Amino acid sequence: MLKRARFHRCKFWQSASKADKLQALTLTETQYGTQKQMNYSEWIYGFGGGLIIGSGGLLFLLVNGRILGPSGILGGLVDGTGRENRGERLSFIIGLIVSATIAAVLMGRDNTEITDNLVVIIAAGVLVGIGTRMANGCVGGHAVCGISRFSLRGIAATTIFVTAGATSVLVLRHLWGVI
Amino acid sequence: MRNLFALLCGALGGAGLVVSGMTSTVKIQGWLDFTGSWNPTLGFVLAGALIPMMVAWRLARVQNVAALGEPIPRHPHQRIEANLVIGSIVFGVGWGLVGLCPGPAIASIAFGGVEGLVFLAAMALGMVLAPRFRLRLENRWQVVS
Repeated sequence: MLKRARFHRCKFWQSASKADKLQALTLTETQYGTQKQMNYSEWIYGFGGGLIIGSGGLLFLLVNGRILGPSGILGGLVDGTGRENRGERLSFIIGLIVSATIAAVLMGRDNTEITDNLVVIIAAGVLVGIGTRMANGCVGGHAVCGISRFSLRGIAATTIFVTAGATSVLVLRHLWGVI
Repeated sequence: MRNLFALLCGALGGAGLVVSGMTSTVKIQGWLDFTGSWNPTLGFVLAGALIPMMVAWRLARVQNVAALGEPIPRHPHQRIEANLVIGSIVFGVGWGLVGLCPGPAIASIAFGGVEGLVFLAAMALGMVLAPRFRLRLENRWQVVS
């Protein structure tokens, strides 16, 4: 995390004087320090956000009779297998984007902190697309909806993709330094 | 009516993703980074999301039909086949690479920027290609029938 923050800071350095750079460095180090300490509020926001996501899943299941799974909802639209309920899928995606926009503005979150390496992004996108469709679910479907009904497939899938994700971060970040 | 509720559920999902901070790829990669600076936020998000969903499944057991007339999806078969295992591995690697899964990837459009759109396009391509990779191994690797 620190490494990435430094990398992004480099861009601002190009036109700054040495003193400014030093000040920027100390400032961001302090900011980073406080950010570290503010983890607890991150956890609370995480839990609250989780409750909101779960309520969405509850309504979607009990009202529409559907599983809240972004990969399935989008996948059915993309490959045409979900043609008969296209309206429902589109509405879900539109609702997701609109409310995320509003929430991001209200909460002052303006960045997904995504890498700017397009090759990595494309590779990851293709892998995520193939993987979620092969496994019939992503974090929403398998972890949130699967584990909550004690589904063996959901628990297995979650264990596997968390392990695979951790391995990919371990190898690509700490061993190879690619990301 | 169905569309209206789908819109509402999508809206709840999107708001929840932003509130929980799961649109931040750094937090997701932080969750996966067990050997580095591990960030447990995703665990709290999952814990929060599981509570209403457990209630939902409990209620669904009492009533088999959803409010708008659709039957509640039945428990799918519980075989752990090659598709599930290999698909999850492939997904996990891509997830760790950038820190976006399909939900946050759709929500990331809200933040603007080209990267999210490129990711979405690549993901859509992957979803179109996926049936070619689906393996016909349904009856092997059978752990629980």
